[in-house]
Amino acid sequence: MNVADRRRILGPLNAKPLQFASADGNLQDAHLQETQSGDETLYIQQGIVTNANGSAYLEIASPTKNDQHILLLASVYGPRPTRGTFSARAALSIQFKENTLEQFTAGEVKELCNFLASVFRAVINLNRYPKSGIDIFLNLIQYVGPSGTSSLEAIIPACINAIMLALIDAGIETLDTVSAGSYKGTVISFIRNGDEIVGFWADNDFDNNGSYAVTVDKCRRHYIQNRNAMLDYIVKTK
Amino acid sequence: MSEPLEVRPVSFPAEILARIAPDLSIQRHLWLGLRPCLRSFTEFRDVSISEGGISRPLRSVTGATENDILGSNVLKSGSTIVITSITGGMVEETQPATGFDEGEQELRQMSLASDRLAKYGAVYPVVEVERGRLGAPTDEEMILSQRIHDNIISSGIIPKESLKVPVGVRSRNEDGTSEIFYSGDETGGADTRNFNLKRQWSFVLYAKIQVFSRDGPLFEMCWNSLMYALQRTLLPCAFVDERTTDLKIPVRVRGRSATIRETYDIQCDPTEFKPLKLNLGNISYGSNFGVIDLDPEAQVRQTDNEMEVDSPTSVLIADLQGEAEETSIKSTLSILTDGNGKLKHLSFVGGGAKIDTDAIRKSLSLSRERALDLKSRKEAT
Repeated sequence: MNVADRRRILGPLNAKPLQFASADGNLQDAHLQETQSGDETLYIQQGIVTNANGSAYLEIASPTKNDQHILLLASVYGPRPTRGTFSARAALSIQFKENTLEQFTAGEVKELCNFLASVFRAVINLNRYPKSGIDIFLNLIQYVGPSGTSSLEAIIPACINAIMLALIDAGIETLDTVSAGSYKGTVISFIRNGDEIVGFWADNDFDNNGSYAVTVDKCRRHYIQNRNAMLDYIVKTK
Repeated sequence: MSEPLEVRPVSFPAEILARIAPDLSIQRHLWLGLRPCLRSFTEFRDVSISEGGISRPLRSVTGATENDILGSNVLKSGSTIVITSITGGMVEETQPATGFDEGEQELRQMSLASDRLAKYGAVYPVVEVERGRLGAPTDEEMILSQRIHDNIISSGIIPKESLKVPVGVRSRNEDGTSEIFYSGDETGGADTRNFNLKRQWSFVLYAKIQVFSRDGPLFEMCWNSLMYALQRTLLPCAFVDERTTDLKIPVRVRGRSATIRETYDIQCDPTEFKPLKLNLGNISYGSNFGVIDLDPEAQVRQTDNEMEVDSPTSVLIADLQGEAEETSIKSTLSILTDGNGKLKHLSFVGGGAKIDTDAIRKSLSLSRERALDLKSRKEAT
C-alpha cells in the first residue's frame, strides 16, 4: 500500500534531514541550573486569534539569561455543540503543537496534553456545559530553554497560564484561577490560594531534590507570583 | 374573526445584520463609499513584518542545538498572523554511472535548454490554517500549498545552482584539533587533491506556513511571507570527514551482484552559513482584488424623490477582508508582480460581477504600487 501523504507536498522521498555537527563544547548541562522563579518577565495579550472564542498570547523571557524564552499561543474554541450521544458534561480536549521547531517527540506531547487535560478537567466547571465540547489548542511558537536545550517541565507553567487566560477571554466558567509553579523540574498546579493541588508533574530525579514539603512550598510561591501577575493583567485591562 | 395581521419592521444592529445578511450589509456599506472594515475601496491593510529571530544562523551558537530553521518570517496584516519557517534537507544528486560521458552530457544540456523549469528549485510548503479543528488538511490548505509550490518553480526564484551543497573536508591535525577546508577557500591553503568527491548533494527547502486569525483570502499573504523568509534564508556549509572521502565498502546484495557503495556521513557546519542566492529580479509580491456589482435596491436614500445619480455599477475592492467581502465578492483577481510591472502570476475568477478592462488595468497598477511598498519594507528590516 502506498502510505505517502498525498495531501501535503512533502518533497523528494530520498531527502535526509540536515545534521549539524555539534558546536565545540560551549553547552552546559541544563539540568544543573535551577530556574530562578520570579525573575522572568511576562508579556500577555488576550484575544489575538479573532476567530477563536478566546485566546491568549504569552511571552516569557528571563532577563538574566537572555537566550531563554517561551512564546506561546493558546486558543479556546467552544463551548460548541457535539454530535452523537447526550453527555451531561462538556468534553474537553487539549492539543499541543510546535509551530516552528519540533523539539518534543510525539510521546512527550501526548503526555503533556494528558497532564494539562487532567488539570483543566478539575478546574473548568464542565457541568455547566452539557452536550458541548471545549477544544483548546496550544501553539508553541518558540521555545529556547536554558543553554539551548529543551525540557517539558519548563513550559508546563506557561501552558497552564496561557490556557487559563484564554479560558477567561472565552468567558468559560472555572472554579478558580489555576496556575502552576515549578521548582527543579517539578511542576505543581494549584487552585484556591495554594490550598489545593490539581496537578503534579515530576521528572525522574524527584527524589534527589530534597524533601517533598520544600518542593511544594517553592512551587506554591512561584504559583502565587504567576497567579498575581495574571490577575493584575486582567484587572488592569478589563 | 381573525385579528388583523400586523407587520412590524425589524431592525438589526450593524454587526448582527453583517452576520445574517452579509450581502445586504456589504451593499449598504458600499453605497456609503465604505467597506465593512471601514477601509476605502482600494485601500490595503497595513503589513508589518519581522524576521522572528528563530532561525539557527541568526541565533548563532547560542541557539537550540536541534534548531534546523534556516530562515523565518512573521507577517501581520490586520488581525491575521502568518508565521513562516524554512527548514532544509539534503538529497543526493544522481550521477552518471560511469565517469564522464560526453554524449550524455550534451544530451542533458540540450534538454535543459528547452526545459526552463528544470533550472529552478522548489520549496515544499505546508500551509496550516488554525481553525480549531483537528484532522486532515482542508481543501484550502492543500490548494494554497500547491499554488505556492507551483508559483515558486515557475517564477524562477531559486536557481538549482544555489541549492548545491558546498562540501568541504574535515581533516584532523596532529594535535587533535580539526579543521574544515572548503574548495575555493584560499585562506586555508589546503591543496585541492582531497576534493575528489564524485557525489553531489543539493538542499531541499521546506516551508511551514502557519496562519492564525484567518480573515479573508490567504494566498497573497502566505506568498509575501514566504518571499520575505526566503530572502532571509541562510544555508549551511557541509563537510565530510577526510577519511571517508575515498571509502569504499563492497556490499553483496542477495548473493547475486556485488555493488560498491560509498557511505558519506555528511554533516553541516554549525557556524558557517551562506545566504541563499535568489534571482532577486524574479521576486514578486502578491495582492488581491475583487469586483462587485452595486445593487441599486440597497441604496440608502435620504429622501424618496432624490434623483437617481449616474454612478458606476461595479466597484473594484482591494485586499479582501472579512466574511462579508469573501462570501459576496465572487469575482476576484490575484496578481503577483514585482515593483517594475513584471507579472509573475495572474488569476482571474469571474463569478457574478463582470471584470472589465478598466478593473484589470486599475488592479494591475495598484498591485504594482503595492509590490513596491512591500519591497521597500524588506529593505527596511
